[in-house]
Amino acid sequence: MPDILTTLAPVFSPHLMALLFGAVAVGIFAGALPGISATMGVAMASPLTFAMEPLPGIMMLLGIYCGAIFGGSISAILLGIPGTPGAVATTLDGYPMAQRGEARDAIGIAAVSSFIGGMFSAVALAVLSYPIAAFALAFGPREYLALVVFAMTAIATLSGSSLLRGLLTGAIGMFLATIGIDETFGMSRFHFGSGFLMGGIAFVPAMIGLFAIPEILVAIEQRFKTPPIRPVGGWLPRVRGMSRLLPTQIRSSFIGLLVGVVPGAGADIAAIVSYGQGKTWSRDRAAFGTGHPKGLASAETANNAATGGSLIPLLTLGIPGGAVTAIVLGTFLTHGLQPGPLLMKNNAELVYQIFLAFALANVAMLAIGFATSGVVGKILLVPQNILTPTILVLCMIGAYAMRNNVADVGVMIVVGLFGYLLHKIDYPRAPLALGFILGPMFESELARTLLVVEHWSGLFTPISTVIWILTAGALLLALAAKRMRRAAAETMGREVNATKPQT
Amino acid sequence: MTHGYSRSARAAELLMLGAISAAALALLFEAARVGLWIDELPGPGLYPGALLVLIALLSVILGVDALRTRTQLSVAAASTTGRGRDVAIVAMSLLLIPFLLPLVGFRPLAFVYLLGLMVFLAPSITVAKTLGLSLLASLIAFGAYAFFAAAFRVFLPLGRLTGL
Repeated sequence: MPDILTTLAPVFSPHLMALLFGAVAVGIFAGALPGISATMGVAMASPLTFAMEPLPGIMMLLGIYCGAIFGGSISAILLGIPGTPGAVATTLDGYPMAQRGEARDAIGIAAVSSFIGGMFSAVALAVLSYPIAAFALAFGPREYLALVVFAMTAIATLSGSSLLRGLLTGAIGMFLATIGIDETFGMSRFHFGSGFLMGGIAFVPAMIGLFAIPEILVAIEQRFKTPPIRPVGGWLPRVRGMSRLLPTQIRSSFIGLLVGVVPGAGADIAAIVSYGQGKTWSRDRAAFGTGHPKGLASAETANNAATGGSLIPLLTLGIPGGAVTAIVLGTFLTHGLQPGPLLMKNNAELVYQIFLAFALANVAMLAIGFATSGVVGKILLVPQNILTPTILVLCMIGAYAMRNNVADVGVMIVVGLFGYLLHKIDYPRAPLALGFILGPMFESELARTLLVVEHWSGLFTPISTVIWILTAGALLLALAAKRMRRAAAETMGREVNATKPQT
Repeated sequence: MTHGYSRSARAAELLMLGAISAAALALLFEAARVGLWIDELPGPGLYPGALLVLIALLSVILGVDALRTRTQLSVAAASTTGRGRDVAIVAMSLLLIPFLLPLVGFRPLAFVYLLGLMVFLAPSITVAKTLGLSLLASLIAFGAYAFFAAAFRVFLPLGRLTGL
């Protein structure tokens, strides 16, 4: 184990601290704006990391990720509109609190709960990662193949209302990743003589297009008026009565962490599950949905605990659990780093630094969240006709910055228009992202497995059998998650209908 | 799997699925060309070929499901009537960007797009507002160029025609 203090000291350098705090602030502001999700924020920022060393680049993305998950709660509380999918459950009790004139208390609860959930998952990440990675060193091709298929169950969870639609977009993502040089044979596929296609479709511009362009076009289409923003009522959020919420926050931290580890089950599922559990365990469950602090605390603790949970399979096994971690994985790969047990073994210093950076991101989130909650409310007043074109230009920059290639801007636009079409006809986009990043892994592990296995029964080693069983369990969980999302959407429809912006 | 949704959405879905399945079948030839099997082992074309078969199959299944689905005018569709034209205009203009960017350069193109969209999306516009938006658009376009060059060493393209 490397000398811990020497290893961790670089993280505290003024340059990296400024970068981290800046990234968290950007994440909070971006997450607070309805229409900009954590995925979109991380996708847009990802190309900018290529000019940096791995540690600052990863720190920036983690800062934006943590900040955006909390930032979504601010518009959920002040506007009644979740800024990010993870803030859906926050709206149920956060907005009624603001309507009663308790916006400061609501933001205070959201900030502290997010901090507790985030720090809990940071500690879990640091404690659990090495044992998991050490175990994973024993993995061979059959185990990795089972693991990739396990990760691909996320496609089912992310499929929304129709599994077949999710499978189709996931398969399209996997196919798009085959364009270019085949890793096993070194042959170029589906390039049709184009030098650009011979290099393959770049992941980051495609992801910016897939997640950002449809939101821009939807904003143009809807052009809704921002509903009245509830006043925060003060400069700093209030934290009175926080000790009564601690048992709720501890329980929600565990739930968020466990849900975050499951492929495809991100911050939104974590918040919904935790909210449901909080209601079940509460003595005054009838008050949930009317502005109950425990409801707000349940949701906000879990959605931030899920962020660390989702990093565990990414760092230890190299498996992304969702769109955000898929983009972070893409960033690792671009820097020539392969997350997984070998990264933990050969780049232990970097991994420890990432653990610390993630914990510090949660500290920054608490500090900046407290300091800027009043200001963020004002940001929500920025007119759509200024915000939307600005985001579009930032997307152009992000797509170009990847390889200094104008063709990547074209990829972003084409994929973006396709993503808009998918959105309009209710086809999920996240499976496409997951298929794109997992497809090459699946293909290479399949090729390696076929070299060592002569009969299909050879697929099942003791470890791979356990993973296949977990895969079946994850699929069942995916079906349950669909029901939970549907129930939450119905509840949201009833609760939020009165505050829905008029087109 | 049946559910109600607008006729235009169903038409768009059928069109998309038809195009996807046709493309998948066409690309199968390319997958076969690179080689499905080599020396009794899977070749570079087998995995993408299998994916293309899956894509074509899923497209057909979903297309049949869409054909069987009853259509109804959705509230959402009615409320955005007329805005579809705006989206189409913006989408068409986006497709011009990869061609214009190397010719015109980032700064002029970003300025034109910013100003154009800001005015296009504004609920109401006056000369004074247009001048204000012009100033804002130029600040963002030229400011972004300088910021990303200095902070991230991202040098956005200069135009062959304009030099900007």
